[in-house]
Amino acid sequence: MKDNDAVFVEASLDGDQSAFGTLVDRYEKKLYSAAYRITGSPEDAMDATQSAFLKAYEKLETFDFTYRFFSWIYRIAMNEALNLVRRRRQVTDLDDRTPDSRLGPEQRVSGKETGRLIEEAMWGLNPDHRAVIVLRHMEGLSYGEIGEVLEIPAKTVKSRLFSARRELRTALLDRGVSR
Amino acid sequence: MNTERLEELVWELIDGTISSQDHLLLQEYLVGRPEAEERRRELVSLAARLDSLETVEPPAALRQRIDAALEAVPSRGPAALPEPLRLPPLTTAAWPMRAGYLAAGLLVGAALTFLVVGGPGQDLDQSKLYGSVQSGRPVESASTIDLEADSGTVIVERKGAQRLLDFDLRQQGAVVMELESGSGMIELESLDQSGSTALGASTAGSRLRLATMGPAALRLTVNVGEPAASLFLTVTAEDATLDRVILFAGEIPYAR
Repeated sequence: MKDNDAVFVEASLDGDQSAFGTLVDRYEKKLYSAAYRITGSPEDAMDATQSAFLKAYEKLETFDFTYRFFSWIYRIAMNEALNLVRRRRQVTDLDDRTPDSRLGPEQRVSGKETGRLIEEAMWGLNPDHRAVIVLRHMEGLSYGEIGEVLEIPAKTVKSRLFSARRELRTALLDRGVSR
Repeated sequence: MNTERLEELVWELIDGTISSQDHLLLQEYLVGRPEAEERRRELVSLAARLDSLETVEPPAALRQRIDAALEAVPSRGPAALPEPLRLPPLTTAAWPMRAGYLAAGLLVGAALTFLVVGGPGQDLDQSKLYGSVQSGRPVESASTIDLEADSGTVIVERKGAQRLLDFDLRQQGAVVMELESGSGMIELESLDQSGSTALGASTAGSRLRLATMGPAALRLTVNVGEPAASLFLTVTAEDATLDRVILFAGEIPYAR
């Protein structure tokens, strides 16, 4: 799917508006999901996704065909989502909202609750750490691809991911999620 | 090997980036060290849990919002309006096809308004135009109107039921020009554009709307159906730093 994105970008630049619609079809769900994991808000995720597609469309002439479209659109969407989070101080707000769900370290949690607790723990991470977790584990991107999206070296991705995972593990232990 | 190094190698193993040398080192280290093996299992379990989080489904409204936002952007390339631009007369039926341009125009607010009033059946030389500006600026002759902030000029001329308008827009960013005929109908007979700035046009009832995304020289001829029909022109400009900008506002009657 990723390989022929460029064909649709070219068609869109030639005036075929349905071609860009195909790209929206391909990435709408993935971008929304990633944006939601980063912002923790359906409305913010919608705003980030919509803005990403609009900006990509408006700036399509500047698209560099030596790069992949998916990393370009992800980069725009991630920037939108991260900017929203930073502006709204989402981390603090969400952290304040979820103390009741925390369990003592001696209590173990399993089953359906685990997914929710993981998401809560993720929202407690700083936005940059959350972004690398989302891109690596939920979107399945490699270090190199994450680096392209976030415009950081792959080495930085690796070290940031390591710190984020450690932080996340600690947060999950605090919530009673171990193994 | 300390705990941090152990975790580092386990994550490299999970991510598939571990070297064969480090892989061997890790395997040897785990043998006979149940605490290290427990930590490895824990990290593998954490990775599996993260990997298995389901994709969050977007609301159906998202696609509608995206489509609406994209429609507001002028078309590009061969499917867009050709250059130099010559459009056939547009009717209300053509309105849906040009809705994108109108939507783009709606993004910017109202600004320049002037009224052109002429005598019945009278062709006026543009040098005889005069008027007064509602914004308070007196105008000796309306043949050439300087827009605010040195953002351009517009020349108005009347020939029977036709109105000729020459826009020289130097404004950076989007500019929208809306013409409304007092007769209840308006047709765009010709539209010439110099330069490569994206341009859109649409009609709806007695209104014609033009949108340009940057500096442009436009010459358009419209038919308002009746020689004496009033013509209201509203131009909207959006500036990158000032947001919406009022370029000009005035009422310009013709001399007889």
